Amino acid sequence: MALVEISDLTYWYPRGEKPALRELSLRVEKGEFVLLTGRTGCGKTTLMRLLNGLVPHFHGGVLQGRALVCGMDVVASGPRALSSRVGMVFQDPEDQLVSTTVEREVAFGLENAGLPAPVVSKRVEEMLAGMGLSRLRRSFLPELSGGEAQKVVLASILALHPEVLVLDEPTSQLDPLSAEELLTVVRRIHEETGTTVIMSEHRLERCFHYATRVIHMEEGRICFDGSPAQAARWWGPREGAFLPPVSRVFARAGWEEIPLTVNQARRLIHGLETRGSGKVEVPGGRREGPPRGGPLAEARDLWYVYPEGPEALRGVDLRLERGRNLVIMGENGAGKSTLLRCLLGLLPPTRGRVLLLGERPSRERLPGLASRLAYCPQNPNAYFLSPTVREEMLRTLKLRGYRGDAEEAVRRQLGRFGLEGLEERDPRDLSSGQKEKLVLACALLPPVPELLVLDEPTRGLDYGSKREIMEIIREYGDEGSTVAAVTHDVEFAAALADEAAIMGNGKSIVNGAAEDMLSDSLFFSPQVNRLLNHLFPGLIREEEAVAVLEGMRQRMAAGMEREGGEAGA
Amino acid sequence: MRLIPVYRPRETLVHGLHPLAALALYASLVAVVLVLQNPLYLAVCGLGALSLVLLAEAGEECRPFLLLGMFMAFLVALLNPLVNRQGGHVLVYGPRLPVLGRLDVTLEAVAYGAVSGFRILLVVVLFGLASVTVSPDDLLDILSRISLRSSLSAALAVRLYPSLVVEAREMAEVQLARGERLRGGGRWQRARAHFPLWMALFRGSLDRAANIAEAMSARGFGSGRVTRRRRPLRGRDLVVLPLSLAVVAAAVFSSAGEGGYRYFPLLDNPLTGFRAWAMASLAGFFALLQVIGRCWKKWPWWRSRI
Repeated sequence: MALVEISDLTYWYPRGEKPALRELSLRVEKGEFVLLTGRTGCGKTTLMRLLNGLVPHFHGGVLQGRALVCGMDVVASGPRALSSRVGMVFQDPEDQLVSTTVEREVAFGLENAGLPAPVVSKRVEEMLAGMGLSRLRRSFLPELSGGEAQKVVLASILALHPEVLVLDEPTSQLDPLSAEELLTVVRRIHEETGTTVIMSEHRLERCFHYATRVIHMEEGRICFDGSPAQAARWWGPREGAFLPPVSRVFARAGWEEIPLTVNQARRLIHGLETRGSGKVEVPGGRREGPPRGGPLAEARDLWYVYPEGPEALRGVDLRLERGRNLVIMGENGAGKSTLLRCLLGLLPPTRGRVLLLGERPSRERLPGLASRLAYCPQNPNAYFLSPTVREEMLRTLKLRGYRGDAEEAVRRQLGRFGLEGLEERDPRDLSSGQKEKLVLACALLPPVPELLVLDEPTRGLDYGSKREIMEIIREYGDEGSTVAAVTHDVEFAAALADEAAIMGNGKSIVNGAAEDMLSDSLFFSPQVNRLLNHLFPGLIREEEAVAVLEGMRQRMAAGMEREGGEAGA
Repeated sequence: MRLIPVYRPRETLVHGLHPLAALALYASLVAVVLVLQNPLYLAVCGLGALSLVLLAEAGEECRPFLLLGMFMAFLVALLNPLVNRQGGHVLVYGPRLPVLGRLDVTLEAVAYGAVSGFRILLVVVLFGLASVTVSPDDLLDILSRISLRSSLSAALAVRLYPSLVVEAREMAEVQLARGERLRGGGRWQRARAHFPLWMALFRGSLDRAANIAEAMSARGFGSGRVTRRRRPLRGRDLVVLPLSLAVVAAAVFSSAGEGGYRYFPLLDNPLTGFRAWAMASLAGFFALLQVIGRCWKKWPWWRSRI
């Protein structure tokens, strides 16, 4: 029986210039695990909102066509009627939690559904135990980590026993370990209860192979619908933008058979090795980082203890060289953000010494360094104060004391960042990728800063946006800007870093060349390294992996030709 | 890191009270503080409030309320003698001002100001203690019978306040790094620099409100009849509820007629209208709470019984 039946549906948001969904038809059967992919703004979220009636009931707008979910007409029923059949988890747990304690939060939806009190109590207990939240039962919600909070949201949705579970980028605000944990729970729920799952997600390496079906959307239309293996083949000639990194490198290297996991990829390579190709050299050799150009920032025996709180930093030694991009990684609570705040002078060190651009940084001195350094926060909304994109950029120029033609500088920068046409838009209304680009566009306005400090610059971004941002950062690197970034994104770290530091428990556990730091690790290595490290120790970058795999493919083809020739002879 | 004094669950008798019993306790203590005039009784109330804070292990959370209360108490104690002309013992003969007249400071006005300030301090601390020990969700259960939406708004405000504080801090730090001088300069300059930040914070709050409304709608809020899980009253509540009412009654009776205490025109002797039974009932009430609370903490069997 089809749980979702959408036929020829077109939808416009109020004041929307073009439809968010166009002539869309979709049928989802019970028990399917559907992965929705597509660039930000392609209509994924709108489609998911439609499934529980938030579109059009909460958002308004005009809808043409018909949508049936669990046998109920979405337009006639609305979210109130659908809420117990379709559960929806949004991106940010902060925007979904309404109570103060975990137990009350899990009960919230059940109480709204008007279920008898004993049933509410039973389901709350069931969810707390099943999701491993019992120890947090009476915890204060604002004090939970992002991963725990999102798990509470999921528990409160699952408590309603929905037939369809809709997840809109549920891990976009989480660190990799929390994301892994959450997706494992979703997989378990799907496996054990047969709940239909419809999910959009950018961390494709964690769920792509598990989905029973992949749907790709562009401009409100479905342009691909098939199994993950079919999707991998479909994406092959298209640079694999919506594939897991390991699949993407095979697609980019022109392989016909595209693996979905590192294991499958290893089997492919293993097969190749046994065919006698031997080891393949990385074309061009390993990337040599730029030379060291003196310290831009330095921390020596840096300690920071929060008042009545934990020791967040415990004797950190770190040096950022001019021209050598540095990436700081580590799990949540490892002290990364505190380190960044100390380096910028936003927190005074409890002990130790910090130097930033040759000065001892402080809150008082920081505004004076604005023309030499730029800071891009984790949450782009914290950056925007002006009502339009144009005014935001003009404001930045004014704060930096820019004396040239400001309007011209803004126009040039908008063009360079591909943000033309957005001048009069409210920065807060832009998509995640556009917001991140705008923050960078402001940060990199003239005079180009010597130091660019990024805090989780790729959080919640799709591969395409990440790649664009990566290219922009590289361009500015050539103009003399050095990057210090805190990130959980190992692929981004690998592409950007010359140096890397891994933090844990307030200390810099290791730091050194990125090739050494991001190699041979279970959680801090990119997929391509996990695939090829045994053949090419220190290979961490996608371009290098593509080159290696191209070489392997050519040798394999040559070997097969030879074998064919010998057999013929 | 705990930055904000809001409700946090904790395993103490005070936190474990039924919200109805907790409300009765705090309301009765505030009533007692407002009704009683005799400084001796008020001193006992002060010690009692302190013992409650310790029993609730909420010293850290109550500190901001204590500081706020002390500030308000200081203001009242300072201003009262200047504006109150009553009292027979003039301590300082002040100057004659055009509208206010002569600013004499009397012993009685000083004492009355000090006691009034102390009362305000106690009320603020008790309010603070209530806000950090009574779960807004539990309060919601009670208040929702009167107004579901208002009580939900209150619970949401408690939930979102910490996020707002963090967001404000983040924004201020980013703007410092962008070159905005939020510190230094005159008040007007600082206010001008902060204004766009407040506006952005306000707009961010509106966005968050819309997102939460959407999430609540997706979880069936406003579908119709809401299930109310009744939390049963337990032994501890059945002790605290009647005792709270009894203490208010004792305070009213002890203050009536001869038992009252007068500050003007001359200070009464605190022992003149003193009633030992009233003092004993007040002290006994706080002592009993301490005993129950300590036993509750120490003996799980006792905890399970009450």
